[in-house]
Amino acid sequence: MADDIMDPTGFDSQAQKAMAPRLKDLRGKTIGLLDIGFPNGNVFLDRVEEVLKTRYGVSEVVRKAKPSPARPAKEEVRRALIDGCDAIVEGVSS
Amino acid sequence: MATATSVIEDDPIEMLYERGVTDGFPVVPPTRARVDRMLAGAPWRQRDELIGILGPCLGKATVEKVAINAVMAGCKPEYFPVVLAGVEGLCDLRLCAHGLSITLMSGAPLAIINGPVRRKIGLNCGHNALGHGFRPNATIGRALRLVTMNIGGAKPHGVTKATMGHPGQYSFLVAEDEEASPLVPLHMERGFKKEDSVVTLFGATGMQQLVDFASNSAERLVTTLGRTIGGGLLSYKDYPLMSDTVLVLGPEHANTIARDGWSKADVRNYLYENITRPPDEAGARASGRAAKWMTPDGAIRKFRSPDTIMIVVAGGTAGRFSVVIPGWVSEELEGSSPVSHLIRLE
Repeated sequence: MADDIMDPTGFDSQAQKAMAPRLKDLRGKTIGLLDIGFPNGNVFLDRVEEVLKTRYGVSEVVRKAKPSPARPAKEEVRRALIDGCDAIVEGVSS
Repeated sequence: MATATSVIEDDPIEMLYERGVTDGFPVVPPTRARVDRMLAGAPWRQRDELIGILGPCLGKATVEKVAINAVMAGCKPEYFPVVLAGVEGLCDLRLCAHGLSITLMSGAPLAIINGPVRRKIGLNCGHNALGHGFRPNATIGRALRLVTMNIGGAKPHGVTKATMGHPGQYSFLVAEDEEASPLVPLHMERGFKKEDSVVTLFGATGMQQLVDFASNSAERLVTTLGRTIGGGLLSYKDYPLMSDTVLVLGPEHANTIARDGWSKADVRNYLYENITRPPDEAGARASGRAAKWMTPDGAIRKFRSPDTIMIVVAGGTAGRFSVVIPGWVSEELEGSSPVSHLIRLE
């Protein structure tokens, strides 16, 4: 009977993506911060930037933003982060 | 003797629960015979035709996969053309169904049906228009949810983590009562012909009842409705809402409006001009986005423009009620815009 029941799913639930390699430490690195557009995200990320620089020795922080959480970031924003940074932090909600 | 395991293997309803492809209610097992009958409801479509790619998991919405989910929802084959047009709307990037299906907000697409298909398949437009009890209303809306879950991959506690959700996520559909309405139907306002059958999808959140037993003029009535909508519903952190609005007018309210010679456009324009809040009450930031919609005397408009309001007439002919269905994040923040798709019936 099970063979006669058709599969309603249309996506690959088993698909896996590999994790990006982790940084061994943050000193001297360039870190991207993507504000996904929830209220007060900029306030929190301002503090994250400060901590990264003062406590962890990050040399540069690249700040980008989406207009709202509703859609993915524009391609040029994604490329600027992926191509220009050693690691990315994306967030955050109020 | 039946054991727990043998019950699941022998019972396709339990097996489908185990597979995680239901909305919480039992589904109709999609046997090959049932799916073939569903496909025969739209024989001009090929079963392997790709309607579109559906987020969040970028699933392939083929005609056959949609038919499988339509069977599970309990649709009859004659409803299938409506479901197909609805899925075309879900795949329409302007709707932002991807975002709507994984939002923290209580989001669900509302399907508004216009045109001759309503009478053809027995859609209920009258009493209980937004409620239960009618197979086409219940199952077409449900099919769109199952498609979103099973083809799009939007599962609760998976990719989908809406804080509250709402019951419309089971099925959210309203058919306009064009015959009882004294006002122009929605699809004609959106550029279609009266004889076209159309599904309009709106990125919606929950709904609120609007009560007015007292007003006997269009201006008084629309003021009451507008103040209820404008007073009680805040979203995001700014006022006005960064979301659009659907107003479902009950027939008694629609008749009061039409008796004074008002059109749907008059209602929209009046709401836009007159529904405002003082900045301190609205919690708005006058220096932020809200400044764009300030009136000359410093109040903040509830509606960004008359075009952000869609009006539908539906519901029972007894009872002075209407309903407001606020939207999700609108195109103002690169969110959702309503989309209308023709329902092909042959």
